[in-house]
Amino acid sequence: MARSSIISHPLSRRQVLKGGAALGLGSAAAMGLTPAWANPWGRTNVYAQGVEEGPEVSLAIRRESLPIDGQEAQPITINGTSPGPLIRLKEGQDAVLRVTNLLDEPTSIHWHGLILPPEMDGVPGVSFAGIAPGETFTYRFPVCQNGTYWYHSHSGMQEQLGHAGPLIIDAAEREPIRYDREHVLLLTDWTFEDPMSVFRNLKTMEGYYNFQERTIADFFADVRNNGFAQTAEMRGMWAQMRMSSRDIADVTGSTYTYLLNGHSPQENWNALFKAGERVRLRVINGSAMSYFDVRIPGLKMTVVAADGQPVQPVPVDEFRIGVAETYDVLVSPEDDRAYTIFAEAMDRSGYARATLAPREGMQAEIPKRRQIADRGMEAMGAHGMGGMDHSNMAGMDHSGMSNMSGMDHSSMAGMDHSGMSNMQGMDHSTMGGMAAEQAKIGANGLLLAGEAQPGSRYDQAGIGIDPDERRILVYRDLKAITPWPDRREPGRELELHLTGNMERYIWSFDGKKFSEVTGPIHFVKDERLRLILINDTMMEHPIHLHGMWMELENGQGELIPRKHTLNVKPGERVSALITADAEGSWAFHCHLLYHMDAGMFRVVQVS
Amino acid sequence: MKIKRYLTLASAALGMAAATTAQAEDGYAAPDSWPAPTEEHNMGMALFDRLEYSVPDKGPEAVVWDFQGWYGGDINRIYLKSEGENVQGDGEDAEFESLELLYSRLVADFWELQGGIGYQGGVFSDDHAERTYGVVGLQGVMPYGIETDVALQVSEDGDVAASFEGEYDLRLTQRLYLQPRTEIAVAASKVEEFGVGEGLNSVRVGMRLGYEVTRRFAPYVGAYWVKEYGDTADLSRAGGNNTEDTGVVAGVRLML
Repeated sequence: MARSSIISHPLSRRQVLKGGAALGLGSAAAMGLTPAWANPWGRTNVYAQGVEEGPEVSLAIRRESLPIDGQEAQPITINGTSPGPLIRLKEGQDAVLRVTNLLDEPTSIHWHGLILPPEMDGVPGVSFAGIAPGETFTYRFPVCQNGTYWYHSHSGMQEQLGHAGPLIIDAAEREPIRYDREHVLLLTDWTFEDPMSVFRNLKTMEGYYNFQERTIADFFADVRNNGFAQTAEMRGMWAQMRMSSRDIADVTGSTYTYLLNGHSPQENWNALFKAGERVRLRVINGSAMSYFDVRIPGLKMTVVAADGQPVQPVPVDEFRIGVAETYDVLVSPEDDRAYTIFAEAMDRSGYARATLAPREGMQAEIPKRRQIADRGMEAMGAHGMGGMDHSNMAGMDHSGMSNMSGMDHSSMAGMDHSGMSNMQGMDHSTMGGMAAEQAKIGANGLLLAGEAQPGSRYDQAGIGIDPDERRILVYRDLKAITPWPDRREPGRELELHLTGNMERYIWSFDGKKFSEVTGPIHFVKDERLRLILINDTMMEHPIHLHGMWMELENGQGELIPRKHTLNVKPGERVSALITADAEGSWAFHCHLLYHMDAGMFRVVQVS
Repeated sequence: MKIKRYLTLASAALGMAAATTAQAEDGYAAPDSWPAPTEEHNMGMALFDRLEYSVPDKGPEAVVWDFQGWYGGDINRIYLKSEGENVQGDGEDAEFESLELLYSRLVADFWELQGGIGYQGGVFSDDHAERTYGVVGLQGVMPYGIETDVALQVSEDGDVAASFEGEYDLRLTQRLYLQPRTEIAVAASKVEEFGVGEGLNSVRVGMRLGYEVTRRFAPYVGAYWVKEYGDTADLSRAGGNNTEDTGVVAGVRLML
């Protein structure tokens, strides 16, 4: 799709509102318990009820009985709905958000992805004391960005109980994105179990929720397809490691009902459009544990923003959205027909679904679900099979790099080669072109800003998704529209390993749970540093830094995108540049709720 | 009354476990009144790996249990383990082959080192010979997914014995599993009262076919073969018992 067709003179907001109002007349029905922003007509002036417009917003947090997927449930509600209302702020405002806790336990709200003062970040124990039962806490901060974000509780496991909602910030100036209508699509995973029971089940029995394990039938199928020797070797490796190659999601559709704007697939939430309109879909993954693959069969989606920040348009058929990530996509349905918005859980154990249609009550075909995939060599990379130990690799790269200052670049190949000598028998093709690409080294001996790390797999979408089948968004595609303000090269590198013990369900950074670490991660105020994340586990981890952007070094040079949450695939090594301009203490953690609670959490202190 | 002694010990040990899971120093500037951003949770689990009715070919029928429960954190835990049986129609009380209270510490990703005290004897009465012993063991998962429990026992009289248990779950479908299982017992010295001979005592091999109605409830059927060796077999023969037997079982695996 030509870039100019999207990034051009946008309609004024007034025009958009007028159009929406005209369309929305007479369809105020069936609001009920549905969040008002989940109104099928999308954003219109008529249905402002339930959308909390800034700058001053009051939110009441309660535990209420509401039906979810037609069943009695006890979610946490925000102003009477779960998920909560759409909070709509405007860039340049001074937001005043009053949160009243009507629960019988402490609560909090974290404004995910927002750059704000540390005491307004909403993490109990890091930003503030939390909000005690019966108390009101007033968040006040200047709104200095725009785009698609979300908010959620940072207390205990309240997020799993539906304590989350979308947060949209309208731009102060005209956005470089033109559209006629917008819909918010908030994905969540609901369980009728108590979140603490879910956690206990994960802790006490490995694979508790996995009903897609390999069976004897899979073994024979593999023997038929790949021969006995190869199958036996592969299964032998996994068995020797005492791991399951089907461990794609810890908590699955066996307990989760996947919701889109609070609606189950059966309830089929409707997003309406008029044929010929350009519709902006603001997709937010507000799940506790679930990655989704999102597609709308019959429609090309053009990705125009990631984690609230604009990116150069990427036309795709499908995109994977990690927990806590957001993507804005544009679609232009030309025909007067219904389209299924299909968000399939990464482990294929279920899906969320809505319908994009010109009239309510329509539906389109639901795509066939894919089979769960088996993790392969790339996930094993982290587990020391045949000398493929990533911790060695990281060490090698690091020491290798730091010795590079003043060296002729042509010797790079030599270094790689010697480094590789203890990696005999490894499948080089999975190494993300470590030896093949010439790394570009700056004067300080570090990789140049924006260069992809050896060991990154930005050109791959991940497990169980076939790039030959359709065009799938990968991190490599994300390209900022203009360079971000801080153009400095990184002054230093900080390396963190993502670690875990699946058997015990212990998750950690550098092998230490939060309760075992002796101090915060220290950033020097105003320094420019490179954060390198090395995933030594076999699971994806969406890593979220509070308070500061992470500029994902996906090889796009000065146009690298910036994100608040980075998906790190198994065995992968990724890096981000950070400008440590936000003095104070900030949370830094895996955004899989139960991983965070199991210890994958750190505090970053900027001083 | 022995039971009471164990309960006292158990509660003391649980207190110990709770104390060891306190939060470590977070080390960043946060007022003391603030809560920790993430909480550590102590947990507990109770599992009847086998709760079954056994019908041997030659010997008497029996209700057999194999139980373990634990409470604690990720690293330190207190275990209560018990195996035993109630032989049907012998007019005697059920017997603990073992009732153990153990402190357990995670020493490697898949391995827990365990140590504590054990009791062998009648459950409610003095129908059976009794003894107490100290036990040190290693419980975990071997490569290829074999669940293993090896233990060394030293009795109050200084008699030394060791045991090995291994089992493996082979998944036939998502809910149907086949579980081969083996138990091997050896002893360093003869203890006539308990029918224990020197050297290899017995080998037991079994196979169970279970169906997980839920993850917590799996009824199963199975069969086993058991054989006694050396002194142990001689002791059995002297007592008029069989030294080799096969049998079928039906039971449940139950997680509470």
